[in-house]
Amino acid sequence: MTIETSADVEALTGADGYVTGVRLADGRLIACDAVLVGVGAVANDELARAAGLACDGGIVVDLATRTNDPAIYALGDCTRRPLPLYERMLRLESVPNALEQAKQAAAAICGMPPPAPEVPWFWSDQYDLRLQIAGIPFEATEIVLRGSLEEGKFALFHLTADGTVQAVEAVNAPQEFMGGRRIIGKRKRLSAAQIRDMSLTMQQLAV
Amino acid sequence: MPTIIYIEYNGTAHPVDVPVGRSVMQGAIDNNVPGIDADCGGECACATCHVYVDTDWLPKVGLPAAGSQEASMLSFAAVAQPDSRLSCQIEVTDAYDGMVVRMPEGQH
Repeated sequence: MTIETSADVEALTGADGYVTGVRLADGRLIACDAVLVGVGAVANDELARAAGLACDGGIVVDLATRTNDPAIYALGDCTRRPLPLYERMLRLESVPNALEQAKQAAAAICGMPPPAPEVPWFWSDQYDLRLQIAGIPFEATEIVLRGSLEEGKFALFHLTADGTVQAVEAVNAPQEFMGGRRIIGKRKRLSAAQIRDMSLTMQQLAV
Repeated sequence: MPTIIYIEYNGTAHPVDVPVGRSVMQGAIDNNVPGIDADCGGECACATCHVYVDTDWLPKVGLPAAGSQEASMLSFAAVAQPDSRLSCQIEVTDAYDGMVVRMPEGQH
């Protein structure tokens, strides 16, 4: 498998009603039998709008997944929800988000304490690469590498201008992911030197 | 079918029949046993299906290899102990009939 980054798709080629290839802007033609197109999503909020619920590129909910109608809850990819860690409202299209909002809704409906504030996270296995991502680098200005690109076991730490860790992208590096989540949740600041220093364990960095 | 006994942090025991080949995590989720979150669905990617394996059963079940994905995840699990395992990584066999696992106070 090859991953082409920074490649622009110019056209799909076809014959007899079937796709045969993808032509890139640099002139290359990649032959294929099928194309999977992933270009982002638009929230399907027509039903919510028809019900008179506030929508803003997604059904607007609070941290208890309540809409502006107290009798209606909404959760999942179609909602625009608060994310206190990053002080904003956003759509978070991910399985962990749907699970987290389910906990928020269940707690609210049952009158139980809300779940602990979360750090958004994402993961995927691509062949022998395990990708685990904690946080979202909204305002990051610096990227620091920890680990080894050559060994295929590393993490990228995204820091804001004041050194706060906003996101960690880990490749075959579960400790960096788990420690990163903790560091991000604490809004902890780290220096690039600390992050690069493999003699410091993630447990030490996360304290 | 082997019976796995899940004990909540508050002491409530849930004996559950789990088919051979399912994981200890799946046995809990399939039967609405509280205390195991399994946020990632069983891929050893989140450490929210953490259990303590009963002392009598630990030699049979074993511990994750040092440096393994599971060991790495467990080192950051909430309140990990020497008898900690991620229950998504324990596949149920007939030999585990009657096994006792206990849940930590929380998974986060």
